[in-house]
Amino acid sequence: MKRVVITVIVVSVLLVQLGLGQEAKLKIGEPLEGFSLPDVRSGRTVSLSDYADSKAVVLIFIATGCPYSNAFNGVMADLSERYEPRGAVFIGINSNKTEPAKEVKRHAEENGFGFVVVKDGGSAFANELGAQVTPEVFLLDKDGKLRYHGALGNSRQPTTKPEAANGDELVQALESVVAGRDVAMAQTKMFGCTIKR
Amino acid sequence: MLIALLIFSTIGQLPLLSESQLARLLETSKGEVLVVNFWATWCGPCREEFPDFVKLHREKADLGLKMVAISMDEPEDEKAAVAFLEEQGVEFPAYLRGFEDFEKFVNAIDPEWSGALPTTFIFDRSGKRAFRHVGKTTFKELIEEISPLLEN
Repeated sequence: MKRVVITVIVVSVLLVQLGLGQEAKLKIGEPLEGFSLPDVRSGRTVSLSDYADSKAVVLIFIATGCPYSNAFNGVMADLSERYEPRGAVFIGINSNKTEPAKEVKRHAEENGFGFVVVKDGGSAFANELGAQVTPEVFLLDKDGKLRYHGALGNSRQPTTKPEAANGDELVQALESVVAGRDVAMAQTKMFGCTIKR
Repeated sequence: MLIALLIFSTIGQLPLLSESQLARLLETSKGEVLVVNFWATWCGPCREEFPDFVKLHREKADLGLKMVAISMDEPEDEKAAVAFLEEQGVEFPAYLRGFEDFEKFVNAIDPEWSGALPTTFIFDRSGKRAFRHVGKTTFKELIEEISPLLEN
């Protein structure tokens, strides 16, 4: 009986922790070990080590069917083009089990993404980072350390309208990381659709 | 209940909920077990789980459960939100996001919430947050969590 009671208490505590402990697993300042995920367009494997010479790596969790993510398609395409010559690389990651690689490929082509888009089958990478929504940004510096986590933009006024979407929060962080400075605002509120695991 | 019905079926509008009104809603709900669901019309999992909240409210309102739904739709999608709520036969208060600053709005309910949809919060009668569900819930989960809170 006593054992049953203890088990019930332990299980209850675990459940409460699961319910409340949702913050990202990778913390600001911590290095990302690495990843290897397939590019949905070329099929080749993309690894963090491929970008060892980059000043910044922008990982963005995206979706094909989420209006909050889709509102930022243009912003992502523009920013990647603008910052790639300055040593920053953008990688779109789709971890939704409901969105197969084929659909992710079509979506990337239709939206003219000049950056790599990978499929995180089984959502293992999203789990490792503790990513929750789309769109959600993890910005790494030249050493692979997390310098910014949060929204692309509009963190104070989320939107599903492309004309209202901006990349202000990511830009402030990127400017600092590319210049080798500390990021003033290292975390912002995100808004979006839950990643379907 | 009648007021809530009047709000969005006869007028066809959803009242806007600001940061301070959200904080007030939480404050004035003490004494009841409060369930707050954040949803949007374009959010598939939100629509899928919504009937469970309607059922939950029907079954448990008499025991002291207060259900509130907050639509995170854009203001111009209000009509679609109202139509969905009517179709669901909602008999509890429903609002449309009306914040000036999203961060303050989120912090009013839970500073650790990312803003993912759907998300459901459950508060006990003392007003303490007992559960936060990011993503789709099930009726079974809700009942298991809420029943003990209603007994207190």
